[in-house]
Amino acid sequence: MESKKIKSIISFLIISFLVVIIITLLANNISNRSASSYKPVDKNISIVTKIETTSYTLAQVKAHSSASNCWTVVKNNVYDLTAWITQHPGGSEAIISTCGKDATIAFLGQHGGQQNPENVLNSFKIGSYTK
Amino acid sequence: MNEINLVSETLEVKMKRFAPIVVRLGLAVVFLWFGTQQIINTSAWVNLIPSWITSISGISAVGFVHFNGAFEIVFGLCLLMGYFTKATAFLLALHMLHITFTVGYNGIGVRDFGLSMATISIFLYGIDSWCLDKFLVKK
Repeated sequence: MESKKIKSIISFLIISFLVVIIITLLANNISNRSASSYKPVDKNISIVTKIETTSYTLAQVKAHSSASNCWTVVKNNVYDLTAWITQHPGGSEAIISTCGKDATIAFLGQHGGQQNPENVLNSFKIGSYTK
Repeated sequence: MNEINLVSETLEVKMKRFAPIVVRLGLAVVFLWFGTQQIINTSAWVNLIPSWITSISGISAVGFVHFNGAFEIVFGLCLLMGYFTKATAFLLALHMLHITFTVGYNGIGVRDFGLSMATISIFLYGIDSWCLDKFLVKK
């Protein structure tokens, strides 16, 4: 009786984790598709890298940590993402949560290896980041 | 007087019967909400994933959020239905304790500690009168 119970719990766990993995793969697939298919919605946003003129420290970036003045560090560069907050296809919260911070991990986690987001990000570059 | 006491005792027994049900259903809704949010609005959760988890596991932060969300949805549903209640509550309690430990000592960590304890109480109590398990055992 006891071994039957253990067997049923084990099979329940195996099936549950299979369902978890299937949902994870589906969600990953859908998010990859939607991320790679989006394009900048504002024609005024130029996909051109601005000339780097200044370097900023984390303290300077932290001074711009609000939705109305949002600077973010990604891969040792500093970006002014204030104008992008309302246009981000993934929602404004995702950008606001990175204001005044080093968002390298967050950006690479969400958009690593995707050209469009890289291009959009580069259009907001205002300088480099010095530790 | 005796009749009044009897009624109040019966009422108390009935109320006690609902205590584990309320905790189980309430927690299940919390897990389901957090799980679906992680799947639907992943970008808002990516920043909460500590970098050491992605570097150790080799899974991207997005993949990790999706896995976490799927885990909470699947086991949240099991908790809601009361299916394999003890095993489900045990897994969710471990999950919550891990999150509490990772988040550390702050407002969110203390809240998650409370949720962990509530999940442990479901595990300790086991099958309540509204659990699917109870009906399956009867059959």
